Amino acid sequence: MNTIHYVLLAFVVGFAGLYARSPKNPKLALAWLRIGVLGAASLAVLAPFVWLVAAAFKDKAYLNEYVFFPPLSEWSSKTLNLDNFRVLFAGDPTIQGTVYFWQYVVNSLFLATATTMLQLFFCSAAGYALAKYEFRAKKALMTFMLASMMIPGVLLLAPVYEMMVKLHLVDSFKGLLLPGIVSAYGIFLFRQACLGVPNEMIDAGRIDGCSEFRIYLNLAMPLVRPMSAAFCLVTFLASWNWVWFHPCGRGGSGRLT
Amino acid sequence: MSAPKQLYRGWAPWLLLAPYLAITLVFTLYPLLNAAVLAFYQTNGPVSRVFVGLGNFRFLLTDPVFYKALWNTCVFAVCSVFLQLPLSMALALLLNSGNDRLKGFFRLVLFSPNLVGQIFVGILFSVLFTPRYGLINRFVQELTGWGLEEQWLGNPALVMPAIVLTGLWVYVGFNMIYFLAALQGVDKSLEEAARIDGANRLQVFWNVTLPSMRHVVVFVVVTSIIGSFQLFELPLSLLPASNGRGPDNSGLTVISYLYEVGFNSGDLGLGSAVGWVVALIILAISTLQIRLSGAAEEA
Repeated sequence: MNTIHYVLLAFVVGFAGLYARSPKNPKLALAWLRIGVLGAASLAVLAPFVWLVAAAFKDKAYLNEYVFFPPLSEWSSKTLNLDNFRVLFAGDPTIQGTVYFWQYVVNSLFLATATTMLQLFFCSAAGYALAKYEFRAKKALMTFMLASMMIPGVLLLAPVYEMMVKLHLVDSFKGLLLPGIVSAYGIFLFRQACLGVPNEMIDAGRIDGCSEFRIYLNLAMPLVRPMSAAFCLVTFLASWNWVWFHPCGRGGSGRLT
Repeated sequence: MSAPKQLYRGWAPWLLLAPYLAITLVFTLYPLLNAAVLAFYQTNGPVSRVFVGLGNFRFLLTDPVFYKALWNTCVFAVCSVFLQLPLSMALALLLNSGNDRLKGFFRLVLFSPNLVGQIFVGILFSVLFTPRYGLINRFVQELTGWGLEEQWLGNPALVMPAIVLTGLWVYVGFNMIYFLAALQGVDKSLEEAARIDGANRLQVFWNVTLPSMRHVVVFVVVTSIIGSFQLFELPLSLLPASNGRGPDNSGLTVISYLYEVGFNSGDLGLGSAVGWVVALIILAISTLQIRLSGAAEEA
């Protein structure tokens, strides 16, 4: 028997007690169960993160000494310090010269930002076209897009890599950026959002002599701004996390301690 | 609001779609066809290739390593559907049963592993599974008195459980969000009616709540299976020393297998063949799943 067992036992006893008091209408017992189970699940999710933060600040020699942070009485510059960060930012000597960690960060930031901006523009344009125009082959195009989302990415890994070799894009920013500047997922998202743009407004724009592109940019886009914000967030996160595994493998988000 | 009905004859929609079409043509459609062609060749790096007909597929069907990979992948898929999704559903139900400030907090916490990448999760967990010092080893020891020295990632019998466990940590919260959204769309009056007619909580859930969110359930099951078959980064970063294969190939997934033969051994042809086999399996399972749920709906 140790602490974890006592806590578990107390939880079960508490639940049983509350349930026994009013088995017909176990509101309190359910609330107890809810908080307990959700709390336990949250702890399980958070524990690795807490461990990670602790590990980042603990001195190398003390990494395995304590599970999380050392007890308060032993806090000192010997157990907790910024050495890990000093090493991280100190730079890594390679054949191409010293590489600093902040260069990785800048790479990742640049790629994620560029991908997000380009995707925002290209996906919304395509989504708007699919929502607000009737043209030949539109149905076929939509079907193709849906199907293309089902293709496992890895199937394309090998041929895309070959393509990159042919186009001389291996090991370059262009190669990392280009395939990611538009996505079927984003287009669908924007198509759904653009369906809500009133046709009357588009017609009014046409009568006033707006070009089709201006209608999209100045009339439709402001109306789907909330969707754009959500889209940017999701895309940025995805591309920030994604960099590592890519046909031309470069960079690396390297956000470990 | 429907789109204008008359056919638009100008170039505007095509211009707006042009970037997507160009990128798709170069980076999806052409490689896809190329993969179909490549699957019939044996290649060695990007330079040499020899036509081998169905040889790649014949090799796959006789390669025990490929079957091992397929088996591991199926184990993970079964665990996602029968272990992870019920857990997600249970948490979503518990979250939905009350409406207080805690709900938002729990939702955010349970979803938070999805804010970091799979690679990150894999590296983190490879440390947590360390014998004697790893967080998970310590916790299991406290709970059961066993396993402090256990090498989760070195013992063939424990590699898949470790991968499944890591997958649980990440994806339970992710699927929970879908279930939660679906639960909030369930008609409360139907549930009330069932309760008044004397159904208990379990019956209400099974006969009223679950059927009315079946579309989301089917969607989540299908995407989970597809995701399972594309499992690659997690084992790769959990077992970096062996490229995600683990001892005795115990952590090998079909995609790791593809990566191994296609990139490390340089036979992109065989890799493409694996890719096509995986794609066909995914397609078959998704179609079956959607058909079945459609049939259940009509019955």
